[in-house]
Amino acid sequence: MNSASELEELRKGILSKRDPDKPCIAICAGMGCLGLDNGRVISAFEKEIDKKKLKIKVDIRTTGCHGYCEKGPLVVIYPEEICYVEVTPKDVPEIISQTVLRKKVIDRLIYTDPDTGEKAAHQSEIPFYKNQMRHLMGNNTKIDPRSIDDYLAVGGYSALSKSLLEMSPKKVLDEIKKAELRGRGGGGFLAGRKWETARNAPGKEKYVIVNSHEGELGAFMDRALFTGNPHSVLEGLIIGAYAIGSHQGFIYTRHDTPQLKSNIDMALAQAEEYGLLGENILGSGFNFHVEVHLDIGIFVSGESSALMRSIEGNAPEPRPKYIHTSVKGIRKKPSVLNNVETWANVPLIIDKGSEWYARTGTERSKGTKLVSLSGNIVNTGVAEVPFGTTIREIVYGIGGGIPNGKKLKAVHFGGPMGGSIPESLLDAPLDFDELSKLGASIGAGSMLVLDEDTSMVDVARYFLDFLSNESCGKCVPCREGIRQMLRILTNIRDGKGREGDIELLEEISEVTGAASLCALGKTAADPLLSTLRYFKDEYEANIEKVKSPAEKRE
Amino acid sequence: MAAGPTFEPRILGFLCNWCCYAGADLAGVSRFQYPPNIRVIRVMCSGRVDPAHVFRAFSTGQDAVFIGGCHLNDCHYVTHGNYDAFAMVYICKKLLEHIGLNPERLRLEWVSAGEGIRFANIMNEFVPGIEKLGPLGKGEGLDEQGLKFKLDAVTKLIPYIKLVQSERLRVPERTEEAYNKFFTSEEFNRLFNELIADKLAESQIMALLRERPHSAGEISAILGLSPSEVSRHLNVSARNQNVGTAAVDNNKIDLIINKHQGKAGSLVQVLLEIQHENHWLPLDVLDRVSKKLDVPLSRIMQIVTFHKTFSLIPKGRHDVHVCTGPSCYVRGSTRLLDKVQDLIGIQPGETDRDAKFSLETGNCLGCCNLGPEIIVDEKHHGRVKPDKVKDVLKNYE
Repeated sequence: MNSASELEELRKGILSKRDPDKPCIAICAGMGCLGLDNGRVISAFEKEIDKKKLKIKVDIRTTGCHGYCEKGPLVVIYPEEICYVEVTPKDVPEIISQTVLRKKVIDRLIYTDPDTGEKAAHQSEIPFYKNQMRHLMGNNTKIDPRSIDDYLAVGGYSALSKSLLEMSPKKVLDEIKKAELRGRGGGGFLAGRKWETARNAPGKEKYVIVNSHEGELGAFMDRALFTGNPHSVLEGLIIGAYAIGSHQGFIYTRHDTPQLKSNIDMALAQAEEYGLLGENILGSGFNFHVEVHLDIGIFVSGESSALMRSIEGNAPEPRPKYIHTSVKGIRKKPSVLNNVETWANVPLIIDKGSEWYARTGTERSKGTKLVSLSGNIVNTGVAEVPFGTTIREIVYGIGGGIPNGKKLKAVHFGGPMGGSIPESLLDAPLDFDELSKLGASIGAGSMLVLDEDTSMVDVARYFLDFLSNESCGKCVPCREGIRQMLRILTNIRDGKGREGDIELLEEISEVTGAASLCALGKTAADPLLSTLRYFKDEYEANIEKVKSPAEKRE
Repeated sequence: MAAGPTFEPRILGFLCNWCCYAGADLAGVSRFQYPPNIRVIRVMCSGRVDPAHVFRAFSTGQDAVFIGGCHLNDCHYVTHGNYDAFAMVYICKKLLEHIGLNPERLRLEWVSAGEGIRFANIMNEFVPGIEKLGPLGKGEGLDEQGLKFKLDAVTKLIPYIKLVQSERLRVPERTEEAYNKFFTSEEFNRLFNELIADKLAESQIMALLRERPHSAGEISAILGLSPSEVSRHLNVSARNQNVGTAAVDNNKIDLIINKHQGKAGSLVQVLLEIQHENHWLPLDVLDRVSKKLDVPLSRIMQIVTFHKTFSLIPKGRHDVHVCTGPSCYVRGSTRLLDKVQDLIGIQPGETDRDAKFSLETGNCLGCCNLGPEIIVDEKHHGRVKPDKVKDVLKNYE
């Protein structure tokens, strides 16, 4: 394609071939549903449709993650948008004959509220979805990630043509800055400022990178988004590259999710075929190429400088960052690294304008945020909420609360480098700065919900144990500091704690935080510190128990 | 007694010039009777006897070794060499025991120059004892080859053992009690196992592999080690670049390298793909990658040893991952992992005897709705209760 009009014509062509009233069965093929054997559900649908010779009348679409992983395998029947949960291959013939052909809702397959017994037939009525604002994830049910036509049908790549053909790079950058888009990977750094630094950095060769490493424990929303809608990320990446003047992009992703890799490869090939990637994109004269790199499964390789070293073909060890990677990154060239979710926000901003975008969210955190809910929660899954939503709303409104009638003890954000907040602070809003103030940085967006049976000492120990394995070992404060903290915590957990341990922990964590090379070490003690902040009594009780065995005996 | 009365044990004696040798001389001069099985080598001090001498004696067919020195604190040298002999004999006995030989075959005695009768008495007791034990190896039920193999492995390790002895197994105080106390302590046992036994096992594995390729199962059967131990030792040896050769199709390797256009920056991708294809990275393959991509082997080793993903030793046919992410953790992955370990008998990072399963703990794989979960060959099995593990694993051969 060589111009915007050709793109629009193609889009019209795709849309005209599609009948909006034609039944379409969207089956979730996300990671969570795959594990629930949805492969058998998909093949059952295919077989059944073959058997009934409905191939022309009914479409089947295997999509990316719908988000409501807990109730998988999920099936949504369009155009009515009837949502069936926990579908098994046995249900398939009935779904085809009843719902698809006769438009009848099957009662036993729709969502039932476990508390009220209320039923919800449509996706938009299910509390899990109802309380979300799905700007990024919403298209996941409407798109087969392996079909660029599906993405074009929902308006994809119009932001790209708009920025390449109607806007100057400077203007694109200004839009992003005005939207106050903040990095979703954990730092919350303003993407616009990062781009500007790279744009103004000397040198012709510049790089843009998608960080899809997602090493954060309990975080799976980037995977869900990227696997389910790879073109949206790719579009954002190309726009970003245009804004800073880069002609080479990298996608850095996990080696252990083959589905993601194959969807990305497919998306790149299709975009290239359509002239949306490669030389002279849409006739604008802008060239851009993308390489996919696989990480090797270590936590620290998600750190920007380590990631870039890994792309260069070296071991992923971080370097001191007195010079930002946006000035000297891959091969010492300016490199802009953004998270999957950040890139996916870009087309949205360009398409609908920064003003529209900035209307959602809080004063300093704009837009929506994907969070992954896990742990002791009824509804595990990926949810998208506007910034400013309270944690209580997310946990109870969307997450459905704590299973087995237990009470909530804490919510842990940001995995091994985040922090926990206790039940009493649940009304805090989801916001980069507000949560940081509470000692629980939002991280990439994983929310681990812990019930009353959880020992917070054990949770802190668990994360340190993880980090001690994942530390690259290059700098001493991180390597040794984490190890010593882990040792003390293990002692406390096993009832061998001593008086003064808490003070010692605080002291070590201060040094580790101040002296470590990269964010891994700098924030390693965060879970520990936040649990110390809110659950100090648990530590003390654990130590106390040992100190006075006599009392215990009584 | 299988050997019967015709068995005449061959005994080698190392006697100190100043005390025991003179004592033996006195026994002869005094016409004390004792069995004529011992052949004597005179050394200036019992402290001169090296473990290498002891094991060489055993390797060349001696059935027992006798070391005689001055009484403790009577040493004719300021170095108190007989204490060194004391420690050496303790360690050698432990080694003998460890490789399945009777430690009674090595004997240390203090005999002064005036104690001719004592020397004769000791011999009168020692020789029949060895006769009862039977020939070296046979008496313990080891075949000739196995015996030679084990003695070789120990002999190779002796320089290392001496180093360990001087660094870690020194008794600070030169008194009999202190020596006895240390060498019978739990501490010594622990250090021995940690420092020497492991090395010995590795040394034996290496010797086996030098002969011809063996599977982990064969190794564990021959050496009588648990599969878990064999796997652990193989891991260590691989990291030290001691093991790792296998026939891999070089064309396949070249194809992978060419696919990445032979750029040095694609090293990690090339390694990942080979790992994926072959399940492990043999050294000769790494060598080839090094030459083809023009990247030093040292850098490749840095990357390969940095990541759990890469394996320098052969893996089992099926990869078993137990997710230990936080969500699975709070939902009980620890109990699940215990169960898996029980069932297949190996620890994370190891491969079982039949090379069927390799066990790893995977950090969060993002299927938190499935927790706790096991992933076998990239297939997720979610919400697995410990008692269901058997049902999951039985489907894999």
